[in-house]
Amino acid sequence: MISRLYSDLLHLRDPRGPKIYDTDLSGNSVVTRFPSKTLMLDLAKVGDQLKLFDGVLAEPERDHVVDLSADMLTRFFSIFKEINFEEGAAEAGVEITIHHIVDPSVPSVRTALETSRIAPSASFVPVRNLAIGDCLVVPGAAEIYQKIEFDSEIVMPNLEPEVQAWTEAPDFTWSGLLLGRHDDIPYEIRLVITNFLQSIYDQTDAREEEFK
Amino acid sequence: MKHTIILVGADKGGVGKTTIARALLDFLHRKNILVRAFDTENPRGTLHRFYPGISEIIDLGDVASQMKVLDTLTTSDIKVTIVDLKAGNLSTALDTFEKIGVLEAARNGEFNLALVHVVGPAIASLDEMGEVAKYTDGIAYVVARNFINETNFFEWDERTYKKYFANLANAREIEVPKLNEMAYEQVDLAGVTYSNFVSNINAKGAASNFSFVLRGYVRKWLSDIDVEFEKLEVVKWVMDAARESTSISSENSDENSDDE
Repeated sequence: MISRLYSDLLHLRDPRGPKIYDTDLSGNSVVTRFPSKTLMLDLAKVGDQLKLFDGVLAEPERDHVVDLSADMLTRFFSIFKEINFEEGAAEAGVEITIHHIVDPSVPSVRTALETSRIAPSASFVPVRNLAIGDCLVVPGAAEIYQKIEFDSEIVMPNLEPEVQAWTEAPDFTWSGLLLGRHDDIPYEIRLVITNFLQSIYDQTDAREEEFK
Repeated sequence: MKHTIILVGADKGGVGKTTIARALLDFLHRKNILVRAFDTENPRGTLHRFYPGISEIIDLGDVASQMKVLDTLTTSDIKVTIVDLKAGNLSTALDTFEKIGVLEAARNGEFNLALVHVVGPAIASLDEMGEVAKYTDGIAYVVARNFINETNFFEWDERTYKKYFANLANAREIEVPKLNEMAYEQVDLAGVTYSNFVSNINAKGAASNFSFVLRGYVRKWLSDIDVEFEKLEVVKWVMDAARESTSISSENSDENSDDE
Protein backbone atom coordinates (compact mmCIF):
# COMPACT_ATOMS: atom_id res chain seq x y z
CA MET A 1 0.00 0.00 0.00
CA ILE A 2 2.76 2.43 0.92
CA SER A 3 4.49 2.06 -2.46
CA ARG A 4 1.19 2.56 -4.22
CA LEU A 5 0.49 5.62 -2.10
CA TYR A 6 3.89 7.17 -2.79
CA SER A 7 3.82 6.26 -6.48
CA ASP A 8 0.49 8.01 -6.70
CA LEU A 9 1.30 11.10 -4.67
CA LEU A 10 4.61 11.65 -6.43
CA HIS A 11 2.56 12.48 -9.55
CA LEU A 12 1.73 15.73 -7.79
CA ARG A 13 5.39 16.69 -7.80
CA ASP A 14 6.24 15.52 -11.32
CA PRO A 15 3.43 14.91 -13.82
CA ARG A 16 5.49 12.13 -15.38
CA GLY A 17 5.19 10.30 -12.08
CA PRO A 18 7.95 8.20 -10.61
CA LYS A 19 9.60 5.26 -12.29
CA ILE A 20 8.30 2.23 -10.46
CA TYR A 21 10.10 -1.06 -10.01
CA ASP A 22 8.14 -4.03 -8.79
CA THR A 23 9.80 -7.21 -7.59
CA ASP A 24 6.61 -9.02 -6.73
CA LEU A 25 6.34 -11.30 -9.73
CA SER A 26 2.90 -12.48 -8.72
CA GLY A 27 1.68 -9.34 -10.48
CA ASN A 28 -0.71 -8.62 -7.64
CA SER A 29 1.01 -5.47 -6.47
CA VAL A 30 1.79 -1.91 -7.46
CA VAL A 31 1.97 -2.89 -11.13
CA THR A 32 -1.79 -3.34 -11.21
CA ARG A 33 -2.17 0.40 -10.54
CA PHE A 34 0.57 1.73 -12.77
CA PRO A 35 1.09 -0.88 -15.46
CA SER A 36 2.64 1.50 -17.98
CA LYS A 37 5.08 3.01 -15.50
CA THR A 38 6.15 -0.15 -13.72
CA LEU A 39 9.06 -2.39 -14.58
CA MET A 40 8.65 -5.92 -13.33
CA LEU A 41 11.99 -7.18 -12.09
CA ASP A 42 13.46 -10.50 -11.16
CA LEU A 43 16.50 -9.52 -9.14
CA ALA A 44 18.03 -12.95 -9.62
CA LYS A 45 18.72 -11.78 -13.19
CA VAL A 46 21.67 -9.46 -13.64
CA GLY A 47 19.92 -7.77 -16.55
CA ASP A 48 17.10 -6.79 -14.22
CA GLN A 49 19.57 -5.57 -11.61
CA LEU A 50 20.96 -3.24 -14.27
CA LYS A 51 17.46 -2.00 -15.12
CA LEU A 52 16.92 -1.09 -11.49
CA PHE A 53 20.20 0.26 -10.13
CA ASP A 54 21.59 1.70 -13.37
CA GLY A 55 18.10 2.95 -14.18
CA VAL A 56 17.97 4.98 -10.98
CA LEU A 57 21.43 6.45 -11.50
CA ALA A 58 20.66 7.30 -15.12
CA GLU A 59 17.82 9.60 -14.05
CA PRO A 60 18.84 11.05 -10.70
CA GLU A 61 16.51 14.02 -11.06
CA ARG A 62 13.50 11.76 -11.19
CA ASP A 63 11.63 9.96 -8.43
CA HIS A 64 11.92 6.19 -8.29
CA VAL A 65 9.82 3.85 -6.23
CA VAL A 66 11.04 0.31 -5.63
CA ASP A 67 8.41 -2.08 -4.33
CA LEU A 68 10.32 -4.89 -2.68
CA SER A 69 8.49 -8.09 -1.98
CA ALA A 70 9.46 -9.75 1.32
CA ASP A 71 11.24 -12.60 -0.46
CA MET A 72 13.42 -10.16 -2.38
CA LEU A 73 14.50 -8.06 0.58
CA THR A 74 17.65 -10.05 1.37
CA ARG A 75 18.70 -10.33 -2.26
CA PHE A 76 18.07 -6.63 -2.91
CA PHE A 77 20.19 -5.48 0.00
CA SER A 78 22.88 -8.03 -0.75
CA ILE A 79 23.26 -6.56 -4.25
CA PHE A 80 22.89 -3.05 -2.83
CA LYS A 81 25.86 -3.66 -0.55
CA GLU A 82 27.97 -5.66 -3.00
CA ILE A 83 27.90 -2.97 -5.68
CA ASN A 84 28.13 -0.20 -3.07
CA PHE A 85 25.02 1.47 -4.40
CA GLU A 86 24.95 3.85 -1.47
CA GLU A 87 28.13 5.51 -2.73
CA GLY A 88 26.94 5.55 -6.34
CA ALA A 89 23.67 7.14 -5.32
CA ALA A 90 25.46 9.79 -3.26
CA GLU A 91 27.74 10.64 -6.20
CA ALA A 92 24.76 10.93 -8.53
CA GLY A 93 22.84 13.06 -6.03
CA VAL A 94 20.17 10.46 -5.40
CA GLU A 95 18.68 10.44 -1.92
CA ILE A 96 17.54 7.09 -0.66
CA THR A 97 14.64 6.59 1.70
CA ILE A 98 13.82 3.11 2.93
CA HIS A 99 10.25 2.62 4.07
CA HIS A 100 10.12 -0.63 5.94
CA ILE A 101 6.71 -2.07 6.75
CA VAL A 102 6.89 -3.57 10.22
CA ASP A 103 4.53 -6.39 11.05
CA PRO A 104 3.50 -7.00 14.67
CA SER A 105 6.05 -9.78 15.13
CA VAL A 106 9.54 -10.11 16.56
CA PRO A 107 11.14 -11.42 13.29
CA SER A 108 9.68 -8.51 11.33
CA VAL A 109 11.00 -5.91 13.78
CA ARG A 110 14.36 -7.66 13.86
CA THR A 111 14.53 -7.51 10.05
CA ALA A 112 13.67 -3.82 10.23
CA LEU A 113 16.51 -3.26 12.70
CA GLU A 114 18.99 -5.09 10.44
CA THR A 115 17.78 -3.21 7.38
CA SER A 116 18.09 0.12 9.17
CA ARG A 117 21.81 -0.53 9.60
CA ILE A 118 22.56 -1.37 5.97
CA ALA A 119 22.78 2.10 4.51
CA PRO A 120 23.79 4.73 7.06
CA SER A 121 23.34 7.59 4.63
CA ALA A 122 19.81 6.56 3.66
CA SER A 123 16.78 7.75 5.54
CA PHE A 124 15.12 4.89 7.30
CA VAL A 125 11.41 5.12 7.93
CA PRO A 126 9.67 2.24 9.68
CA VAL A 127 6.02 2.03 8.79
CA ARG A 128 3.60 0.58 11.30
CA ASN A 129 0.37 -0.27 9.58
CA LEU A 130 -2.24 -0.42 12.29
CA ALA A 131 -4.53 -2.33 9.93
CA ILE A 132 -2.32 -5.37 10.48
CA GLY A 133 -1.51 -4.64 14.12
CA ASP A 134 1.09 -2.71 16.07
CA CYS A 135 4.45 -4.25 16.89
CA LEU A 136 4.73 -2.04 19.96
CA VAL A 137 2.22 -4.19 21.79
CA VAL A 138 4.00 -7.44 20.96
CA PRO A 139 6.26 -8.67 23.80
CA GLY A 140 9.89 -8.52 22.73
CA ALA A 141 9.17 -6.63 19.51
CA ALA A 142 8.80 -3.23 21.15
CA GLU A 143 12.26 -3.53 22.77
CA ILE A 144 13.87 -4.26 19.43
CA TYR A 145 11.90 -1.45 17.80
CA GLN A 146 13.40 1.00 20.29
CA LYS A 147 16.86 0.11 18.98
CA ILE A 148 16.03 1.20 15.45
CA GLU A 149 17.58 4.53 14.60
CA PHE A 150 15.10 6.14 12.28
CA ASP A 151 14.73 9.59 10.81
CA SER A 152 10.97 9.49 11.02
CA GLU A 153 8.30 6.87 11.36
CA ILE A 154 4.89 6.49 9.85
CA VAL A 155 1.97 5.03 11.69
CA MET A 156 -0.74 4.25 9.20
CA PRO A 157 -4.17 4.56 10.78
CA ASN A 158 -6.58 1.74 10.32
CA LEU A 159 -9.07 2.34 7.53
CA GLU A 160 -12.50 0.84 7.94
CA PRO A 161 -13.29 -1.82 5.32
CA GLU A 162 -15.90 0.41 3.70
CA VAL A 163 -13.36 3.22 3.28
CA GLN A 164 -10.67 0.78 2.20
CA ALA A 165 -13.01 -0.48 -0.52
CA TRP A 166 -13.25 3.00 -2.02
CA THR A 167 -9.47 3.34 -2.12
CA GLU A 168 -9.21 -0.05 -3.81
CA ALA A 169 -11.57 0.98 -6.61
CA PRO A 170 -9.84 0.72 -10.02
CA ASP A 171 -10.28 4.40 -10.86
CA PHE A 172 -9.33 5.74 -7.43
CA THR A 173 -6.13 7.72 -7.02
CA TRP A 174 -4.91 9.45 -3.88
CA SER A 175 -3.65 12.35 -5.94
CA GLY A 176 -7.01 12.57 -7.68
CA LEU A 177 -8.71 12.90 -4.32
CA LEU A 178 -6.42 15.77 -3.34
CA LEU A 179 -7.10 17.43 -6.68
CA GLY A 180 -10.85 17.17 -6.13
CA ARG A 181 -11.50 14.61 -8.82
CA HIS A 182 -13.45 12.15 -6.71
CA ASP A 183 -16.71 13.90 -6.07
CA ASP A 184 -18.41 10.57 -6.71
CA ILE A 185 -17.15 9.37 -3.32
CA PRO A 186 -19.46 10.27 -0.41
CA TYR A 187 -18.30 13.31 1.52
CA GLU A 188 -17.82 11.41 4.82
CA ILE A 189 -15.63 8.84 3.11
CA ARG A 190 -13.58 11.53 1.39
CA LEU A 191 -13.11 13.16 4.77
CA VAL A 192 -11.81 9.95 6.32
CA ILE A 193 -9.43 9.36 3.42
CA THR A 194 -8.23 12.94 3.54
CA ASN A 195 -7.60 12.64 7.27
CA PHE A 196 -5.72 9.44 6.60
CA LEU A 197 -3.48 11.27 4.12
CA GLN A 198 -3.14 14.22 6.46
CA SER A 199 -1.98 11.88 9.19
CA ILE A 200 0.76 10.43 6.95
CA TYR A 201 1.65 13.91 5.74
CA ASP A 202 2.08 15.14 9.30
CA GLN A 203 4.46 12.32 10.07
CA THR A 204 6.63 12.95 7.04
CA ASP A 205 9.96 14.24 8.18
CA ALA A 206 10.83 17.88 7.66
CA ARG A 207 13.68 16.79 5.39
CA GLU A 208 11.07 15.65 2.91
CA GLU A 209 9.75 19.16 2.61
CA GLU A 210 9.95 19.01 -1.16
CA PHE A 211 7.77 15.95 -1.19
CA LYS A 212 5.27 17.75 1.00
CA MET B 1 66.30 -5.53 -5.73
CA LYS B 2 66.25 -9.06 -7.06
CA HIS B 3 64.18 -9.62 -10.19
CA THR B 4 61.00 -11.65 -9.94
CA ILE B 5 59.50 -13.60 -12.80
CA ILE B 6 55.96 -14.87 -12.47
CA LEU B 7 54.86 -17.44 -15.02
CA VAL B 8 51.13 -17.92 -15.45
CA GLY B 9 50.21 -21.06 -17.29
CA ALA B 10 48.00 -24.08 -17.79
CA ASP B 11 48.19 -27.14 -19.96
CA LYS B 12 44.54 -26.89 -20.75
CA GLY B 13 42.97 -23.98 -22.62
CA GLY B 14 39.95 -22.04 -21.40
CA VAL B 15 40.69 -22.24 -17.69
CA GLY B 16 40.99 -18.48 -17.25
CA LYS B 17 44.76 -18.22 -17.37
CA THR B 18 44.91 -14.80 -18.99
CA THR B 19 42.15 -13.56 -16.71
CA ILE B 20 44.33 -14.40 -13.73
CA ALA B 21 47.42 -12.87 -15.35
CA ARG B 22 45.36 -9.70 -15.90
CA ALA B 23 44.10 -9.75 -12.33
CA LEU B 24 47.64 -10.14 -11.04
CA LEU B 25 48.89 -7.27 -13.20
CA ASP B 26 45.98 -5.19 -11.99
CA PHE B 27 46.78 -6.01 -8.37
CA LEU B 28 50.45 -5.06 -8.73
CA HIS B 29 49.57 -1.85 -10.57
CA ARG B 30 47.25 -0.82 -7.79
CA LYS B 31 50.13 -1.43 -5.39
CA ASN B 32 52.24 0.93 -7.53
CA ILE B 33 54.62 -1.83 -8.55
CA LEU B 34 56.05 -1.50 -12.04
CA VAL B 35 55.65 -4.66 -14.05
CA ARG B 36 56.53 -5.72 -17.56
CA ALA B 37 54.57 -8.48 -19.21
CA PHE B 38 55.11 -10.94 -22.01
CA ASP B 39 52.23 -12.51 -23.80
CA THR B 40 53.11 -15.77 -25.50
CA GLU B 41 49.72 -16.16 -27.16
CA ASN B 42 51.37 -15.18 -30.41
CA PRO B 43 50.53 -13.85 -32.90
CA ARG B 44 47.28 -12.43 -31.47
CA GLY B 45 48.00 -11.80 -27.81
CA THR B 46 45.09 -11.62 -25.40
CA LEU B 47 46.91 -10.06 -22.47
CA HIS B 48 48.43 -7.51 -24.82
CA ARG B 49 44.96 -6.28 -25.77
CA PHE B 50 44.40 -5.14 -22.18
CA TYR B 51 47.94 -3.99 -21.43
CA PRO B 52 49.34 -2.70 -24.72
CA GLY B 53 51.67 -0.25 -22.99
CA ILE B 54 53.56 -2.69 -20.81
CA SER B 55 53.29 -5.99 -22.62
CA GLU B 56 54.87 -7.54 -25.63
CA ILE B 57 53.82 -10.52 -27.69
CA ILE B 58 56.56 -13.11 -28.01
CA ASP B 59 57.07 -16.67 -29.16
CA LEU B 60 58.73 -18.45 -26.28
CA GLY B 61 59.97 -21.20 -28.61
CA ASP B 62 62.04 -18.60 -30.39
CA VAL B 63 65.51 -17.95 -29.00
CA ALA B 64 65.33 -14.20 -29.62
CA SER B 65 62.16 -14.06 -27.55
CA GLN B 66 63.75 -16.07 -24.75
CA MET B 67 66.62 -13.57 -24.74
CA LYS B 68 64.14 -10.69 -24.57
CA VAL B 69 62.71 -12.08 -21.35
CA LEU B 70 65.76 -13.56 -19.68
CA ASP B 71 68.79 -11.62 -20.83
CA THR B 72 67.20 -8.35 -19.75
CA LEU B 73 66.61 -9.37 -16.15
CA THR B 74 69.67 -7.61 -14.82
CA THR B 75 69.47 -4.58 -17.07
CA SER B 76 65.76 -3.79 -16.89
CA ASP B 77 64.70 -1.08 -14.45
CA ILE B 78 61.44 -2.90 -14.00
CA LYS B 79 62.04 -5.72 -11.58
CA VAL B 80 58.88 -7.74 -11.98
CA THR B 81 58.08 -9.74 -15.11
CA ILE B 82 54.87 -11.59 -15.75
CA VAL B 83 54.84 -14.15 -18.54
CA ASP B 84 51.45 -15.35 -19.70
CA LEU B 85 52.20 -18.75 -21.17
CA LYS B 86 50.32 -19.88 -24.23
CA ALA B 87 47.43 -22.24 -23.49
CA GLY B 88 48.52 -25.86 -23.50
CA ASN B 89 52.15 -24.83 -23.46
CA LEU B 90 52.99 -25.01 -19.76
CA SER B 91 54.96 -28.27 -19.74
CA THR B 92 56.81 -27.34 -22.93
CA ALA B 93 57.75 -23.94 -21.54
CA LEU B 94 58.97 -25.44 -18.26
CA ASP B 95 60.93 -28.05 -20.19
CA THR B 96 62.59 -25.30 -22.24
CA PHE B 97 63.37 -23.31 -19.09
CA GLU B 98 64.87 -26.40 -17.49
CA LYS B 99 67.05 -27.06 -20.55
CA ILE B 100 68.42 -23.54 -20.83
CA GLY B 101 69.10 -23.34 -17.10
CA VAL B 102 66.44 -20.84 -16.06
CA LEU B 103 65.01 -23.04 -13.34
CA GLU B 104 68.49 -23.85 -12.06
CA ALA B 105 69.40 -20.16 -11.91
CA ALA B 106 66.24 -19.47 -9.93
CA ARG B 107 67.05 -22.33 -7.56
CA ASN B 108 70.48 -20.79 -7.09
CA GLY B 109 68.83 -17.52 -6.07
CA GLU B 110 69.85 -15.42 -9.08
CA PHE B 111 66.24 -14.24 -9.32
CA ASN B 112 62.86 -15.17 -7.89
CA LEU B 113 60.72 -17.43 -10.00
CA ALA B 114 57.10 -18.31 -9.41
CA LEU B 115 54.69 -20.41 -11.35
CA VAL B 116 50.98 -19.73 -11.09
CA HIS B 117 49.37 -22.87 -12.42
CA VAL B 118 45.76 -22.24 -13.29
CA VAL B 119 43.59 -25.31 -12.97
CA GLY B 120 40.05 -25.71 -14.17
CA PRO B 121 37.33 -28.05 -13.00
CA ALA B 122 38.27 -30.97 -15.24
CA ILE B 123 39.94 -34.09 -13.85
CA ALA B 124 42.75 -33.58 -16.38
CA SER B 125 43.90 -30.64 -14.26
CA LEU B 126 44.87 -33.02 -11.45
CA ASP B 127 47.13 -34.99 -13.80
CA GLU B 128 48.61 -31.71 -15.01
CA MET B 129 49.66 -30.87 -11.48
CA GLY B 130 51.46 -34.20 -11.23
CA GLU B 131 53.32 -33.55 -14.49
CA VAL B 132 54.35 -30.04 -13.55
CA ALA B 133 55.58 -31.10 -10.09
CA LYS B 134 58.94 -32.31 -11.41
CA TYR B 135 59.86 -28.74 -12.40
CA THR B 136 58.72 -26.92 -9.30
CA ASP B 137 61.46 -27.83 -6.88
CA GLY B 138 63.02 -24.64 -5.58
CA ILE B 139 60.54 -22.24 -7.15
CA ALA B 140 57.34 -20.77 -5.79
CA TYR B 141 54.56 -22.95 -7.08
CA VAL B 142 50.98 -21.71 -6.83
CA VAL B 143 47.94 -23.71 -7.81
CA ALA B 144 45.16 -21.29 -8.74
CA ARG B 145 41.77 -22.92 -8.63
CA ASN B 146 39.69 -20.86 -10.93
CA PHE B 147 35.97 -20.44 -10.43
CA ILE B 148 35.69 -17.44 -12.75
CA ASN B 149 34.03 -18.72 -15.86
CA GLU B 150 32.69 -22.07 -14.82
CA THR B 151 29.26 -22.40 -13.42
CA ASN B 152 29.59 -26.09 -12.65
CA PHE B 153 31.32 -27.44 -9.58
CA PHE B 154 34.73 -28.95 -9.78
CA GLU B 155 34.46 -32.47 -11.17
CA TRP B 156 37.03 -33.85 -8.81
CA ASP B 157 36.36 -34.90 -5.33
CA GLU B 158 37.85 -32.50 -2.79
CA ARG B 159 39.63 -35.37 -0.99
CA THR B 160 41.24 -36.55 -4.22
CA TYR B 161 42.43 -32.99 -4.89
CA LYS B 162 43.85 -32.68 -1.39
CA LYS B 163 45.73 -35.93 -1.92
CA TYR B 164 47.25 -34.63 -5.17
CA PHE B 165 47.99 -31.30 -3.57
CA ALA B 166 49.70 -32.91 -0.58
CA ASN B 167 52.17 -34.59 -2.94
CA LEU B 168 53.32 -31.26 -4.32
CA ALA B 169 56.31 -29.99 -2.44
CA ASN B 170 56.15 -26.29 -1.44
CA ALA B 171 52.90 -25.68 -3.35
CA ARG B 172 50.51 -22.92 -2.28
CA GLU B 173 46.99 -22.56 -3.50
CA ILE B 174 44.62 -19.73 -4.13
CA GLU B 175 41.00 -19.76 -5.09
CA VAL B 176 39.97 -17.32 -7.75
CA PRO B 177 36.39 -16.33 -6.95
CA LYS B 178 33.67 -16.31 -9.54
CA LEU B 179 33.06 -13.06 -11.33
CA ASN B 180 29.56 -12.36 -12.52
CA GLU B 181 29.44 -13.50 -16.14
CA MET B 182 27.89 -10.36 -17.53
CA ALA B 183 30.50 -8.24 -15.75
CA TYR B 184 33.25 -10.46 -17.11
CA GLU B 185 31.94 -10.14 -20.65
CA GLN B 186 31.58 -6.38 -20.40
CA VAL B 187 35.17 -5.89 -19.24
CA ASP B 188 36.27 -8.14 -22.05
CA LEU B 189 34.25 -6.24 -24.62
CA ALA B 190 35.51 -2.92 -23.34
CA GLY B 191 39.12 -4.13 -23.65
CA VAL B 192 40.15 -2.31 -20.48
CA THR B 193 41.84 -3.31 -17.25
CA TYR B 194 39.63 -4.32 -14.36
CA SER B 195 40.64 -1.21 -12.43
CA ASN B 196 39.80 1.07 -15.33
CA PHE B 197 36.45 -0.63 -15.71
CA VAL B 198 35.74 0.02 -12.04
CA SER B 199 36.90 3.62 -12.46
CA ASN B 200 34.68 3.97 -15.54
CA ILE B 201 37.55 4.68 -17.92
CA ASN B 202 37.50 3.37 -21.48
CA ALA B 203 40.36 1.95 -23.55
CA LYS B 204 41.27 5.43 -24.78
CA GLY B 205 41.59 6.71 -21.23
CA ALA B 206 38.41 8.77 -21.41
CA ALA B 207 35.42 8.72 -19.07
CA SER B 208 33.03 5.96 -20.00
CA ASN B 209 29.52 4.87 -19.25
CA PHE B 210 29.89 1.37 -17.89
CA SER B 211 27.11 -0.06 -15.78
CA PHE B 212 27.38 0.89 -12.11
CA VAL B 213 26.09 -2.54 -11.17
CA LEU B 214 28.70 -4.36 -13.23
CA ARG B 215 31.44 -2.04 -12.01
CA GLY B 216 30.32 -2.87 -8.49
CA TYR B 217 30.58 -6.58 -9.14
CA VAL B 218 34.09 -6.17 -10.59
CA ARG B 219 35.14 -3.97 -7.65
CA LYS B 220 33.99 -6.61 -5.18
CA TRP B 221 35.67 -9.39 -7.18
CA LEU B 222 38.95 -7.47 -7.26
CA SER B 223 38.84 -6.98 -3.53
CA ASP B 224 38.20 -10.71 -3.01
CA ILE B 225 40.99 -11.74 -5.34
CA ASP B 226 43.35 -9.24 -3.69
CA VAL B 227 42.93 -11.18 -0.46
CA GLU B 228 44.02 -14.34 -2.29
CA PHE B 229 47.04 -12.68 -3.91
CA GLU B 230 48.15 -11.21 -0.63
CA LYS B 231 48.49 -14.72 0.76
CA LEU B 232 51.21 -15.54 -1.74
CA GLU B 233 54.87 -15.64 -0.92
CA VAL B 234 55.83 -14.35 -4.35
CA VAL B 235 53.62 -11.33 -3.92
CA LYS B 236 55.18 -10.70 -0.52
CA TRP B 237 58.65 -10.81 -2.12
CA VAL B 238 57.63 -8.26 -4.69
CA MET B 239 55.91 -6.02 -2.19
CA ASP B 240 58.77 -6.18 0.31
CA ALA B 241 61.28 -5.46 -2.41
CA ALA B 242 59.21 -2.53 -3.64
CA ARG B 243 58.98 -1.18 -0.09
CA GLU B 244 62.73 -1.61 0.35
CA SER B 245 63.55 0.22 -2.85
CA THR B 246 61.12 3.00 -1.92
CA SER B 247 62.73 3.46 1.47
CA ILE B 248 66.24 3.33 -0.05
CA SER B 249 65.33 5.93 -2.64
CA SER B 250 63.76 8.17 0.01
CA GLU B 251 66.88 7.78 2.20
CA ASN B 252 69.00 8.74 -0.80
CA SER B 253 66.88 11.73 -1.53
CA ASP B 254 67.13 12.76 2.16
CA GLU B 255 70.91 12.48 1.93
CA ASN B 256 70.92 14.51 -1.25
CA SER B 257 68.84 17.21 0.35
CA ASP B 258 71.22 17.22 3.35
CA ASP B 259 74.11 17.70 0.92
CA GLU B 260 72.32 20.64 -0.58
